[in-house]
Amino acid sequence: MKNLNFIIAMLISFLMFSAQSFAEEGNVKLTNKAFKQVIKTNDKGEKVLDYIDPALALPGDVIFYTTTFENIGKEPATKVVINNPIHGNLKYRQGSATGKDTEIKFSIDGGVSYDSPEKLFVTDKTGKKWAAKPEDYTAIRWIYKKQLLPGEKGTVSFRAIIRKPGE
Amino acid sequence: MRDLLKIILETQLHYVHRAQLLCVRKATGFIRSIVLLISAAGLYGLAGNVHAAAGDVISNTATVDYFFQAVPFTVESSPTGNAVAGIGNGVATTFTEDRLVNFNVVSNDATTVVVNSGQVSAVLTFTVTNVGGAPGMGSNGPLDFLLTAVNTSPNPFGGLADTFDPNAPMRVFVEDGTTPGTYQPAEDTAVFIDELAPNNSRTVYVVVDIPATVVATEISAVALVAQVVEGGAAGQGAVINSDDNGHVSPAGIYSNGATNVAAGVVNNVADTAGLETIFNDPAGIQPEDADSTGAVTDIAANGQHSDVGAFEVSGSPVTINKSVTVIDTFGGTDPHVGATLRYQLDVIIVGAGGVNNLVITDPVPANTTYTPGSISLSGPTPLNPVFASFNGGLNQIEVDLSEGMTRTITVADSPVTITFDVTIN
Repeated sequence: MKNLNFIIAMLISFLMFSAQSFAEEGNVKLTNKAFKQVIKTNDKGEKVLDYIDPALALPGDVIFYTTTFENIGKEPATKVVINNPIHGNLKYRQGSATGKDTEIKFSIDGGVSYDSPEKLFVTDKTGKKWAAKPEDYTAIRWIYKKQLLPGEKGTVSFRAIIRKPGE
Repeated sequence: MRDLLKIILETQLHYVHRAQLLCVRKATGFIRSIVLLISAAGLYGLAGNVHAAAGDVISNTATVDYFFQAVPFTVESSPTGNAVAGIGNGVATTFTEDRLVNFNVVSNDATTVVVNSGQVSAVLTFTVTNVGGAPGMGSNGPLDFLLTAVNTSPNPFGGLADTFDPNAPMRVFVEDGTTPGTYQPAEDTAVFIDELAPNNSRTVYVVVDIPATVVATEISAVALVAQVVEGGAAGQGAVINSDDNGHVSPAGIYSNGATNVAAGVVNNVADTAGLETIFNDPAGIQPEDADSTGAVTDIAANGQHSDVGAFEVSGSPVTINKSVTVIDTFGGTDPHVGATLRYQLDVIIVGAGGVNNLVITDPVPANTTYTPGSISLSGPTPLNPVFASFNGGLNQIEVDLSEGMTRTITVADSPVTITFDVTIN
């Protein structure tokens, strides 16, 4: 009996150890990139959008965030939800959040809760409730409606504008 | 045994994953939201950062929550792709908000500031504004400014020409706010502008001594030049005499002689993930920069701006001195009946401008009679005697130096000497 207890104890430590290392390796790889959106003229003389490194970033510039989620494992990932915060120096550009097969919601409380735009209200100092504006959003959530099968990847994105002082 | 192992395995997995999620499902909603807020604090900011400023690192990390084999996972993002689950294993996506510089200097004086010859501490007033308004055009952070006063020309208000410079050295001081509206030597002692936030202004005084040798109507045009300096901390920051767009500032001596700034060196290094500065100041009105050789101009985007004010010496440009000599019929100087009085008017013109419509009139004194034809005119320039006459009806001498409103009299014509004789009745 003492032997069995010992074996079980060893087994538990071993499982904890292996469970620990196993738990660190997820099956989804998440990439988040920021670009500055600029307008350039192509060879045909048309004005097109281009995305460049935001090395020079000034108030008024449009920043394009693109987040890619990829299933690098062998089993499907389910109930996939992507959250992306909006830095305080940026204001969300209305209507710019996109993601194929996703339901998109926004947060105005720093990512604690999310809801659709018409259900978001801010309360001012007098207690009056106002419909939240895009510049009040502090995070975006994309709820992926499908399973993410092994090898599949999806992309979500949004645009935000660098605020000028006092905005 | 196998069932026991399976139960242990599943229990251990659940324990570890739940702990890593930092989210205890059976806790109350209140505790859960506190925990989420603490973990999210590093990732999320408050909306509307009123201090949105140059130098801020704009950072965010996305997360993906999902289930794999009925077990929940959270993975943070990285710019190149992260697959290691657990909060804290991602890498933030970052870039730096760069610095735009836009500011201006405007003279507060709507016209010349009238001073007296030899006056000390005469003052011109200017406003320096850190322009923050237009997005992508205005400054996005606090700035310091170095200041200097520079002699310039022409008279910014038109008209009379710029003819003198105040005595050196001219001084510049910043209004400290204790008694706004006027220069107070004991209060307004700062020699540079410290920590001017966007959309804010400071009042600056240029203080000079007027030479004792100047005369009425003389003008001195003086400019205030402001040079941009890093803000963000109390005290004078580092001068920004070149930006990252190939623009430079000219050299100058600021802070009443205490700060010597070399000309900037062109920097065309490619933009980085760190802080770059872009000059977006407008071209100054005054044509000379702090270098003041006349060769450098206050062009747009050079980290400087300037405006011009002017002093004007008060007083009339025309002075008339009158004297009389008695010519005695007996050859002496006794003013008796029949004696001749010879009057002399010296008309003196000062200043750089001209006097138009200058007509001198002098009534013949009571108890005397004008000696016909005795008017004479003389001066350094030719004067038309047709316009010097005796008006019998008004009993006065009239000399129209404007020659029928066709001539402007200047200092070159000065002094005009008019003489005429009367006899004592």
